[in-house]
This record gives sequence, C-alpha cells and structure tokens, in this order.
Amino acid sequence: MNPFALFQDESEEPDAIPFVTDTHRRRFVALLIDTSWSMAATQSNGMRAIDVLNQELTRWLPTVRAEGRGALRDVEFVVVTFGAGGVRVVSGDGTASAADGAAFVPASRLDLPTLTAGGATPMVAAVELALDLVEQRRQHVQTVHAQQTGGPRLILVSDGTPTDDEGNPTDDWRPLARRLEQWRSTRRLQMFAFGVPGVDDEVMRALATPSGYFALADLDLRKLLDLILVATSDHVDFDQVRSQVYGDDL
Amino acid sequence: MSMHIWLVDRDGRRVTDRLDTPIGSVGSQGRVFRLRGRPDTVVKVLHRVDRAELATRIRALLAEPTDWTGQAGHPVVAWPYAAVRRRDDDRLVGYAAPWLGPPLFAPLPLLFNPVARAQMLPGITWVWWLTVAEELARVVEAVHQRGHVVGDLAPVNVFVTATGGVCLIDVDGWQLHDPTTGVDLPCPFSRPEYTAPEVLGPAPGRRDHSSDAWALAVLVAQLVCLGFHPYGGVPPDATGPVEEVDNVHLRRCRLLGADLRAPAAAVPADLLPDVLRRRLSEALDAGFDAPAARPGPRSWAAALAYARDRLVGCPIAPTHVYPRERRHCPWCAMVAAGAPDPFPGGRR
Repeated sequence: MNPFALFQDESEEPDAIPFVTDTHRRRFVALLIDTSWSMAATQSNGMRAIDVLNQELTRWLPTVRAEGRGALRDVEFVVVTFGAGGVRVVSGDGTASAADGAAFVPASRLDLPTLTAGGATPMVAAVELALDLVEQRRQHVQTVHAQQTGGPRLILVSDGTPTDDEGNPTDDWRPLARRLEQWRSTRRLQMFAFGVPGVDDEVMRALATPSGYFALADLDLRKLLDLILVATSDHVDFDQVRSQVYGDDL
Repeated sequence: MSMHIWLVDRDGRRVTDRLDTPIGSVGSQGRVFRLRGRPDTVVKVLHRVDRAELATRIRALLAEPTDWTGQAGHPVVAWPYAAVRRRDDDRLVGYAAPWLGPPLFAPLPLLFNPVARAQMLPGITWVWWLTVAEELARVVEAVHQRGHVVGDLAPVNVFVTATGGVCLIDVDGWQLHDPTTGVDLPCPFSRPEYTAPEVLGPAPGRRDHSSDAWALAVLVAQLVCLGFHPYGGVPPDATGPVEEVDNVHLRRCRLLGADLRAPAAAVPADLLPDVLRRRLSEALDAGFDAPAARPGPRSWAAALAYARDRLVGCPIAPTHVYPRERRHCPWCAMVAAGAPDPFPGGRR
C-alpha cells in the first residue's frame, strides 16, 4: 500500500446503484407538508410562503442527497403534500405505491417538483396514507430484499387546522391520534411535528405527543428544513431537536 | 452563521475568530462548524442543558496533552485544543479540534458506500479493510491506556485515510478520565447497535474497557464485511420491525452461524478466516454475558495482522484477495449474486 496515498475526488453524482445491496438495513422517513391555501396567503419577507419554501427546497435537497451518500445512506423518503390537489405523493414517481421505484426514494436521489399551494388541509388523510405506505414498504423490503427495517419516522409540517376535502373542520384527528399512539407502542413509530404560525397546537400535540411537537415562533422555512434534516438522522431524540429549536447557544 | 467567538487554550490565551458554515453529519450531540480564519480547525457547539457539566468536561479535555499523533504523522484522535466561548457574553459553547477532510481523511460511513468507495479508493483490496480494522484496534488500545472508554464507538465517529489509518472524533462523548480529579465523566450516549448488552438500556452507568471490546468486535466485523453489520439480517419468523439490537438480544449473529435472511448479494456469511471468527465468537457468544471473555484491542490487532498475512489472490480479478482457507473467491461470489464488484480494480 502506498504510504502517501490520498483519497481521490468524490463525484457529486447521485448513486448509480438502484438498490444498494451491501447495506443491511433501510429506514423510512415520511415527510408530510401542508400546501393548503394559507401557504399561498401567508407572506414571508414579502414573498408568498410557498415560494419561499420552493426556494429553500432547492438549497436543501442537495444537502440531503449529499448526506444520502454517507450518514443517511440507509434512508428512503416518501414525501406527501396535503392541500393543492388534495393528498398527493410528490416523491419518486408520484404514485401512492410502496413498490420498488415508486413513491420511496433513497436520500441520495431525493428530488421534488415545485410545490403549489391551494385548497383545504386534508392532514388526517395524508397521515393515514403515509402510515399505510411505510407499513407496506417495510413488509416489502423485509420480505423481498431481506433488509432490516426499524420503526418508521413521520415528520409533519403544518400551518393550519385539519379539514376534510371540502375545507370543513374535522374531528377525524382524534381517532388518528389513537392510531398513532398504537403505532408508537407496537411499531416503533417516531413522529416529529413542526407547527408554523397559524397551526392548531392542540391537534399537533395530540398527534405527535407534547414531546414530539415543536412550535416555531416564526415562518423561518430555512430553519424548518434544517430541523427536518436533524429529525431525519439516526438515533435522534426529541430533546436534541428541542435544543436546536429553542436553544440559545448561537 | 457568522458568530464571533473566542478560542481559549489551556493556558488561558485567547484568539478571536468567527464561525463559518456548519459541516458534518446531522443530528449529532451538537453542531460542527468551520472557522473563517482557521482552515485547519473545526468548532463543535454542544447542545448540553447542564452548563456546569459542559464546563467540567471541557476542562478535563484541555487538561490532557494533545499528543495523539500516530506513526504516519497524522492524528489518531481529534483531540480538542481550545475551549470556545461566545465573544458577546463569554458563555462557554463548545471546543475547537483539528479539522479532518479530503484528500487525507474521509468519514468511514462514506466508504461503506460502494459507489463512493470506487471513486475515492480505486484499486484497493480487502487488505485496506483489514488494515483499517487493525489500526482502529490500536487506537482503542491507546485510548484505554490513558484511562478513557470510547463508549460510542461507531462508524460515524471514525475517520479513515487512504492508507488505512484511523482517527476518532467526538471525544466529548467518551467516558473521560479526568486527570485532575481522578473522576470518570460518564459517556452520555452510545448507539445501541454497537453497545454491549450489559450497558444497553436507559441508564447504562459506568462503562469498562470490556464494553468497548464489544463495540470493537462489532465494528471490526462490520469493517471486514465492507459495512455489513454482524447483527444485520432478518430472522425467518420476523413479522414486525427488525433492528440490529433485536438480533443482539436474541444472540443472532449472521457471521457466527445464526439463521438470518440477508440480501442475496451481501458479503458471504462464511467470509471470516478462522482466527477472526474465533475472536468474534469469544467477544459476542462467550462475551455476551461474560464481558471479561471479550478479546481486547491488542488481541484484535494481532489477529487482524495475522489474517492479513494469510491471504491468497483470485485468479480472475487482481484486486480480489481473500483468506487462504477459503476455497472460492467471496468477492466473485458477490458479483455472481448481483452485487457491484466490491473491489473493481479491473479483471485479468
């Protein structure tokens, strides 16, 4: 071995291998983003919140892909929006399917279309869909690919109150909260909820538990995306996220 | 982020600088930043609730000499050399340590990725992995000689060099022996998939060198398997989520013959030469509830050097070397099962 050898440059290209075979596990992260009308109505520094979100996502996604080559290599994302167009899968091929090459994509290849805002806030249907998809994906990966799959991670972002498809307030989040509690105890679900101003704190606390809910003081979407990345990492706990949300170190 | 800070060395000398962009993996116990004025330094800002504990820990770190240089002249531990305080209110927020990065250093988890590995280390053989494992054992031995326990001994806390050298980071997470008071400051966290059974759980308490010996055995096995964790694999009767720590509790290690399903193209379960398999069995089987039975780092280093001296070459691919007692090339078997060539240096 050459004692003076150095590492060659690493390319920034996404992973070419379709399903990495020598990692022994996968982790599933479902990211649920509120794209209801309020994201178009709310302003952040003179811009519509949804436009700021899209702008910040173009900065954030390369970071996720870079982490996907190392620390987040075993992570698969599914991204679901609720608002414009109802409940929509916007990751992968955009279909609500847990098959290989469908809704779930490795972090190293995560990309998202430009998000649009409008319509009601069908948060409950979005969370239900995400739960169904991560469970189907777990069974598929564990059975077909023989890779370990731990508990899923749900990351919910909202600035509103759950409604039905027509925009009427709904109490459907109450049974959902019970379902999530069951998932936490039997299927190792870990859920983080981030509320931006305008959100219904009671609902978010009920869904994510008081420890898993983080109310942000302002519409700082760059900080929000950074927090999502922290909430995505392995072995992160609520206190670590809390210290980054409310900490005054910096 | 461009906060003004003081770097305060062990003698109290102060220099000023500014935090630059954050780097490194997300979600660790703190955030790591480059500095505007010092390209050779990183600052770790720690998110500790207990300020007094943070001050004690940083004082203990600075009280110890920073002479952690290995034979090749590179650091083997990224030991802190200064406390970091906010310039506005002088509050202690973290510490400064040497920066590790390309082309000399790379984070170990990146090298588990076959695509990144092929780009960054073209032409390497299995010898590189055996060397990394041996160097790791030697560094852990040096840590133990100074009275510390690494605690969270895991790939994310390991940087490697292209020649197989190793450097440990995140020293603040160790069980630190405070040379001034003689007290051991506890290790606050360790990843369960590398944690010895006796310290698994919410309140692990004091750790011995034998708990590092468990983590070292797991990590050595993972290194020689190119990243495949020894407790990876799915039990045939699994119905719910499965993680490495579930297999630890059930004493199911794929490399020691447990009946676990693994990806068809995974590293073969019978890869290890006898000398390494025996050590692994002592560490994880006999050592499961008898920590003293686990081989220490010196024993691992010797076994790995022995294994490296007893390799044969594959007649098909010049970069394929494997244990002499194996009848067939394990790397060709992986390729035949559909994996990318783990050592794609070119075929004869």
